[in-house]
Amino acid sequence: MGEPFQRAMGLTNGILKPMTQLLRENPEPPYQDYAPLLAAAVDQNVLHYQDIAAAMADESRKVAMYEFGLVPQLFYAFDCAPLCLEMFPSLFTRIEGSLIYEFLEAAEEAGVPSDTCSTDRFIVGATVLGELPSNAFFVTSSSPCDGTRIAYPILQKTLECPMLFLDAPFRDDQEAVRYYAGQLKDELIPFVEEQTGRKFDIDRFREVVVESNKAYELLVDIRDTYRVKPAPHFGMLRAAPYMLFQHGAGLPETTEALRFFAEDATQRVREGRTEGPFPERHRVMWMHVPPTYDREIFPWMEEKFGATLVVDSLSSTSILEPIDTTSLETMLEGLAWQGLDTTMSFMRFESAPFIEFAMNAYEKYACDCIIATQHVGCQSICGARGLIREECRKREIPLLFIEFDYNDNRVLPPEQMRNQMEEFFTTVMG
Amino acid sequence: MDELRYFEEVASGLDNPEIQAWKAAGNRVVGTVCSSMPEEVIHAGGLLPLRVRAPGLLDTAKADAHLHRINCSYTRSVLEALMRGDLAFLDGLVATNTCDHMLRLAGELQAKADCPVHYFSMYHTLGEASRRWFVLEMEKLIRYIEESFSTKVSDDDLRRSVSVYNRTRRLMSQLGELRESDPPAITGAEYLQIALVGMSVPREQFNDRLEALLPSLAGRSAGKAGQPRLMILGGACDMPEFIEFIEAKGVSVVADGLCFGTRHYQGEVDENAAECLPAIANHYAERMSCPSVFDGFDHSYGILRQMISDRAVDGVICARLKFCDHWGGRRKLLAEELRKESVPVLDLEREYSTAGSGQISTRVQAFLEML
Repeated sequence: MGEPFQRAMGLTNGILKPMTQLLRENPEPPYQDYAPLLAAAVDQNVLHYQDIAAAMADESRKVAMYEFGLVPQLFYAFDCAPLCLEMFPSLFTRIEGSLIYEFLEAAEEAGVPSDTCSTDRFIVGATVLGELPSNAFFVTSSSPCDGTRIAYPILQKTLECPMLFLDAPFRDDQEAVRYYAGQLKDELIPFVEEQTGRKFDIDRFREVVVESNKAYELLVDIRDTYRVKPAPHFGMLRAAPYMLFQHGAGLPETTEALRFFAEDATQRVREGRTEGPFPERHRVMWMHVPPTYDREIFPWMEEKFGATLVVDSLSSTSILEPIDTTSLETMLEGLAWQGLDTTMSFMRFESAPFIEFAMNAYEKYACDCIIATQHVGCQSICGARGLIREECRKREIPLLFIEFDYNDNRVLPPEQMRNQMEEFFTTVMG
Repeated sequence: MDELRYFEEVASGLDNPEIQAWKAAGNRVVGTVCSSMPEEVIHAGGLLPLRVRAPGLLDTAKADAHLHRINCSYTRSVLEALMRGDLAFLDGLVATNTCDHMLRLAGELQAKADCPVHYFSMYHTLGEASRRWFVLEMEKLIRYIEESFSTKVSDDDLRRSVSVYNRTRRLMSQLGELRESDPPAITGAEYLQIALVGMSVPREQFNDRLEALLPSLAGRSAGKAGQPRLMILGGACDMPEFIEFIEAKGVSVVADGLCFGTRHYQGEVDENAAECLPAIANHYAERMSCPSVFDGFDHSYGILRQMISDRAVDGVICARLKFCDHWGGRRKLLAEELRKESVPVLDLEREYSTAGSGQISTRVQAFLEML
């Protein structure tokens, strides 16, 4: 057992922090023009993880570990430091793929089947190896997947820790949103009150929601600029605003970082200089998860084939209204809707609306092909394969399936993934 | 035993003479794919709820082109059966989202079935909120029944159906008690055959058959006294041959937590409740839960532990379908708890259509030696 969060902080202070300095002081071509944006995104990550470390050492605060299906505003309203556990493995894999092997192996040694999603194996492994933050409580929802629904009960038994289980409705309508919002009110708020020893303060909550609405509107503005041909910002930055929102919705510094992205993108559009270092020949929609272990894949696609990642179905397709701050109920419904539809929880959609959701984004962002990944731990996306293929055939959309594990580079090493893409772009798209 | 031959024959296929007679009389059959579906609600619409299986199906080539090899072989088999036309006699289907396999099977059924398919959104937690959700879903199911089959489901219809299904549950409970003796009065394979028939024929007929059977089983010995007594857990196992394969090693399978077996028939709906749908919801929540109900372990373990004690179980085989995450996780938690009680657990992975194999044989044998 290591010290809680020790490795995460080692990477944060040892690699991410110097990286921001390097990006600002010595940006590398050909993407030097975007280095300040990248630095801003990494900066926010550093602040995020440092805040978690600070909360671990602060008796008056708590770390709120939560899962897709939720967004962090309510936790910020209680002055918690939230950590979305589903995003945690990518802190490791984005820096070096092999860093997660020991976590995956620890989970398997503890009895988790090796065919379970690597994210959930990572979470169990991090639990077993003592890497999860201390001074924490857990909130989980039943979406998006089977892996989630086995990882958290194991985690609860292993740590004997406070954990709240919420039921994410596997429908997508107003009734479902109200059902989920009801649980946020009746179960989540009392649970966090108990864990933190603080009373819920609706005014503070409203402040956080208002701040997150500003951030959300900027996020929508940024996405709107992706519709321009060529799209502003290179593909590696595409998910960054979304990740910032998911970590920091409700924090003023997140809003400022998103404002920086939005102003940069709109200025480029206004001035007609959205083209990156390589001409945009193809506009790619990425369906489901990207390889977190291969951050060079999107620059490589642009350089080799002029293929720009314009939209990915996880981070960029769900556009909702800002949260209505009229009452506690309206705020919780807005929060419920964001949690359910703007995170990977939308994998809970039935197949037809799930595919329609992606196809709408494909049209909206004027894409000309889809790369659909088949994460081998996700029975949901793999099980939708046949219907995705049928829909793409019907619409004559060029489609490439890539079967891999989005966290574990041993399943499909980067070179082999590139081979598949090369064949696709030189034959189907050539 | 002659009295059991009927059950053996009906369990061996999906379509059967009882269904054919039901259809010939102008009645309709609605398939379900999960034991969490409230059958009594379908029954209340004058329909025959039939748990869909694919007995004898060994090849899923067509379905594999639509679902994925990491989807469980039960869901691929159901889709294969549909695509081959084996489910053409169904007049409706109720699909669900218990697990991701089921969720995507639902999408395929909605896209490919020729009959109306209803999607029943299942909860994944226990508690008041999810019980209310289950009631809302039953209301939607009733609307589907009424609209698709031009029928009405009244409160009286529901109460009559609950009564019929409760009768089954009581009879199945009596049948289960026959597994307590040493040797048990019926084998595990026989129990599963009978359980399958309950999901495959008009329930009133099944109840009459079972009621007539029970006295003939009293005092019967199936197997030898003193044999190791096992419990089988896992998800979609509807193969009596698989249980037979294990029992052929010289053990008695005296208990199970299978969704095609005991779990399907546990408990009763409160017939005196003021409102019927909430009473049905309570019943489904109080049974041993599917591991997809992710805060349901402690509740289920309590029921399981009692069964282990009542049936004097020596060891547990957890036979999960390959790629079933839920049972993979549940097995880990179970193994840890049962270790504290000195009850050994064998973890087996199987495919839906696998009755047995050399590898399973070796592992079961080694497990029995350990017992």
